[in-house]
Amino acid sequence: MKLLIKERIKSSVIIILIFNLIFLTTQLWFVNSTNSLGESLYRYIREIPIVERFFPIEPKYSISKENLSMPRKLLINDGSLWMAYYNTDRGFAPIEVRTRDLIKALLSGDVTASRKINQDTWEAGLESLSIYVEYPVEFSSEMFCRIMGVAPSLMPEKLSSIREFIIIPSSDESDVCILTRGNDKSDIYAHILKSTYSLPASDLAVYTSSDGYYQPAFSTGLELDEKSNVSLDPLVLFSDSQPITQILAPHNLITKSLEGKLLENFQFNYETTPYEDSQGALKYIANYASATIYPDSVFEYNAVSQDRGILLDASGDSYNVLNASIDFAEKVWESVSAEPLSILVTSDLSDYDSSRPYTFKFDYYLNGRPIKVDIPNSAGHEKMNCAIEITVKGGRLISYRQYMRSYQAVSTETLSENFIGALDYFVQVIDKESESPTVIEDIYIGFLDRGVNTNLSARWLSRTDDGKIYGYEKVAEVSAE
Amino acid sequence: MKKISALLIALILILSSVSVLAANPASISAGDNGTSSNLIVVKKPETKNSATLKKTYGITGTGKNGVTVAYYKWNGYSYVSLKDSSGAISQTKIGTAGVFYKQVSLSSGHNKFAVRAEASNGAYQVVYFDINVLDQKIMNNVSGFSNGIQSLYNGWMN
Repeated sequence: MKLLIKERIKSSVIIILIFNLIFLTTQLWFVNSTNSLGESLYRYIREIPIVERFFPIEPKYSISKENLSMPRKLLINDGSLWMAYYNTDRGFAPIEVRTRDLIKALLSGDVTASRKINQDTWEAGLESLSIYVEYPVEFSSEMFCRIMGVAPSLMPEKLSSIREFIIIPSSDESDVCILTRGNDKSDIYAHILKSTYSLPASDLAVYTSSDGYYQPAFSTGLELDEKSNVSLDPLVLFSDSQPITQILAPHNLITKSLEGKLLENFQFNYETTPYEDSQGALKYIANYASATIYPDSVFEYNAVSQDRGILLDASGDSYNVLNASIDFAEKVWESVSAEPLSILVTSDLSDYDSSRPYTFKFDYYLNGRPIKVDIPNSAGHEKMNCAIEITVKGGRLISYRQYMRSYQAVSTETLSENFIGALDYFVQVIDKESESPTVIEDIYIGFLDRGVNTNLSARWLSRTDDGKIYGYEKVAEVSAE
Repeated sequence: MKKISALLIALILILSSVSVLAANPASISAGDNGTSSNLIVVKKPETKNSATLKKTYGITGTGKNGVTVAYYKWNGYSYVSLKDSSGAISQTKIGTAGVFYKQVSLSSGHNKFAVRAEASNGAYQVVYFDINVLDQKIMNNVSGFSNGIQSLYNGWMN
């Protein structure tokens, strides 16, 4: 009898140990990884298509990463007129959630047919009952899938790069159709979703029925002066309002007491002694890197060679490297500020190549408005046309530059210029500067920080097809990347 | 003497601002087509008679740099200028871009508008149009508002 009890206890212990082993292994492989072997195995298993199907990849949350997955603009055409929602607008979120589900269905391969279409059909889609979805930058389709939490292996092969979609609602006769267009404007496809997904046309009228966010006019059909080198993208939205906007007070973040903490992120120790150059910049030298804190609050790190940079917690995959870069920027930010970091990627993410240096660019983003940084090289550093530049190669961070500034809304004011006045200004300035035909892709409200210490007022900004950003000025002054 | 000087200066200032803003009259009578036909082109609405579901509309067009554009709405007797927030005639001067834009409010049924453009030499042009605000049921029956792309991909599955 005693022997039997003993055997049962032994069996129970073995069973508990087996379950414990399974539990811990699952934790290690699928929930959390704590070492490089676990991480590699974890990634290997998660990237197997069948595993991706049942365990979709959920991006780790942060404000900056959420900004990545947010469209910049939604245009709803209810058959009569368009309604525009920017991601700062009340009412944006419900539509975004709805469109996100449909886009994820497309990325997941839940389509019944796909076909290449031409520009005319794309434009017909815009003119039809539809929702147009535009992201702030262009993504490679693989990176976009990862950002949306969909396994890239499920994606239809027709998507090369992604920036904009047109979603055409379902009807009694047809299912939801999504048109995609990549960087190459001729690379346009139409995809019909499975019938399990629906977007009744009547829903569009619901989205356009709210007052106050009505943007009834586009530049479609408006041809500027024939002699001008400048033209307007058909989707530039016209505005008749001069909204109340915030006034921002900038604060330089680097102080003497925080320098050590900041440098620690870049593997410099507290004991490293800087030398001060003639312009007041503090230069730190270590074995494989140098760092400089400029008097205007720009911080710069450079590895001595491309294989000596800081190893990021990421494989060679572009999405992982981007995420690790954002994580790194957040870690740097936390060492100098108690506020969460909110940044918006401002460089296209469609041509990442791990075998060569690649620079991610970000700008600050406050209360839904971008803050475009454009500071000269007067303090001894190179000109900066974004708030953060992170250069990586092969999973290593080899260069890092950041304008260490935070912004606080201190009061409000009415925007000083109307849309048409700003458009006149942009056409004049861009035409003077451009030697070849230039398209104004968008005109929107944001902030421009040129490194001055006075408060910042919101202003009209214009983005052209060559990637330059122009800021409206009352005097003839222009900012360009 | 000082008072008279101040009064004169104030008068000059008022008159000079009026001369800038008063290029277009407070009202115009129907049928006045102006003395010119090439100062502006109204792009939206595209046609003399158009229909919409919305109570707000964006009038857009192109024109010559320096031309002043004002907007008028029919009140049953004449076309009366729309007013800006200060109560003055709502008008804008076309700039380098050569574009004008005005967001207007509509009431149910027919809304008759006129856009009057005046050049610095006194030549002027008037463009009339009617925007009809329909209800959804009527709109659904109006051809051209159906889903235009539908026919382009209907039949793919066959």
